[in-house]
Amino acid sequence: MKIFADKKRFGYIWKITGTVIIIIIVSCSVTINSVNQPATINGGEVLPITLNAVISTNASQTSNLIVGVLVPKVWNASTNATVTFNSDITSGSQPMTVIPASTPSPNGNGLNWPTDLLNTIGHAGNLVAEYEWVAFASNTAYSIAQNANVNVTVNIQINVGQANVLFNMAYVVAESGDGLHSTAYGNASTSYYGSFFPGSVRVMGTGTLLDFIHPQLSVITPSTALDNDILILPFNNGIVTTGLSNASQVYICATGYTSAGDSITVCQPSAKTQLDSAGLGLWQIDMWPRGFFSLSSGQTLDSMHYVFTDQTGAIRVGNGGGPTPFSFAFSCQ
Amino acid sequence: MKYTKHTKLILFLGILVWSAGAPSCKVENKLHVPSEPLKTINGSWEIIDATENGTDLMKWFDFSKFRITFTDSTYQIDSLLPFMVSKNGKWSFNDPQYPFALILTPTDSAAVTAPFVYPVVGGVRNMIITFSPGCPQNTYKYTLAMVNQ
Repeated sequence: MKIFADKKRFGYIWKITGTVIIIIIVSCSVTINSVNQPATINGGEVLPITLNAVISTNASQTSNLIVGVLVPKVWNASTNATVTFNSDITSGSQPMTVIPASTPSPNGNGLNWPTDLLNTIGHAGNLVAEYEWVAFASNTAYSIAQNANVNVTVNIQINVGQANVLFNMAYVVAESGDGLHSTAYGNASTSYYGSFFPGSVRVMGTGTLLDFIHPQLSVITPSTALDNDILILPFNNGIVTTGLSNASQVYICATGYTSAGDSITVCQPSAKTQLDSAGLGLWQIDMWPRGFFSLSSGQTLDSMHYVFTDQTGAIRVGNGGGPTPFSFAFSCQ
Repeated sequence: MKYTKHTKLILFLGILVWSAGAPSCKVENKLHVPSEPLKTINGSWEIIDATENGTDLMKWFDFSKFRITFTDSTYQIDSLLPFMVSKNGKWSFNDPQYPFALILTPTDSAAVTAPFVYPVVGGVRNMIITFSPGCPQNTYKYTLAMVNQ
């Protein structure tokens, strides 16, 4: 009888121990405490950024440090950015490298790091979909002891190029063992990553300002395109009152300028020039310029001017709601 | 050599087991090594899905008139849109048995190669090609299906 009681007790102890072991999952938490980032920078200069983060562990683990940066695509940060870090447990500057797009993030629903970051962290209020997350991993994995607090200083240097840009930055620090463990895919909420939204950067560059933050009447995507691309051309008539605020039909009136110096105007209200409504004052037309302007095989477009009109053509809405046309330059830079 | 009663029994049982299993060891000559068929795309194809840098284009852009018709070695395009090529010409696969790239050679210019996927969807083959007709950083992915005759 005594033996039976011991066995029973042993069974209970085993079950309780097992449960406790399962509850203490190997994990850590990452926090970004502060970010140093200039508010303005001149075109062609290097944007210096410092992230001050703390990694706290409750079990020892070995993994790579991951840093994610939200940037405008025009910066081409995967080739124009250098990321290094210093920490309490390393000596000297530690190099980091861009994670290839083919590498899935852990607990990331099979997605790669940039897609996982976009789904989990978002786009920091940037309104034009010309942004991207670029993720960097340390070149080596580091062992961190149990119950340790490690201070990490991440240095990011991005050559921002000449484009005139206003953009909301965002940063993430994580580690390669747990990934973001995003609740977007039904994972439990954790503190496996730290994120920081320090606000905007203004690059005083050349050309038309690419303003990601303020709603605008018409921003073409992709922002870098040639006449053989399909332009997604919106008319966001919900943000300000224009002459077309009550229009039931909106048309585009466009002039293309060829590299030979000719101009071709397509301004007749028709199915080809009519925008479709997406509701709430938002209109859109997807345009293939070669077909729209009926270019011959020898002709190429350098630029395009356009306004929006009603069916009669009497009301014309251009840049800022005024009569000056919007302009778009066909270029891959 | 003299067999004991015990050895004889074992020998007998052994022969019994062998003779029961022997037919199953016969090599089946009627089966052939399966061979992967050559892929053919002859026919007229239309665009059923299109994205630009991952953004859906089908809702806003009219792809309905576009046709590309493949014969044994040539292709012909009707109602041109942004595509791998803009002129008619010859086509080929990198490997007709396991094609992973579609190669179109217009009559007046160099060959253009696009990554090619040929999945079976709803019992029929679809053709998924990826290419950049304008700026190299803009990627288009078209899904084509054979036009019902």
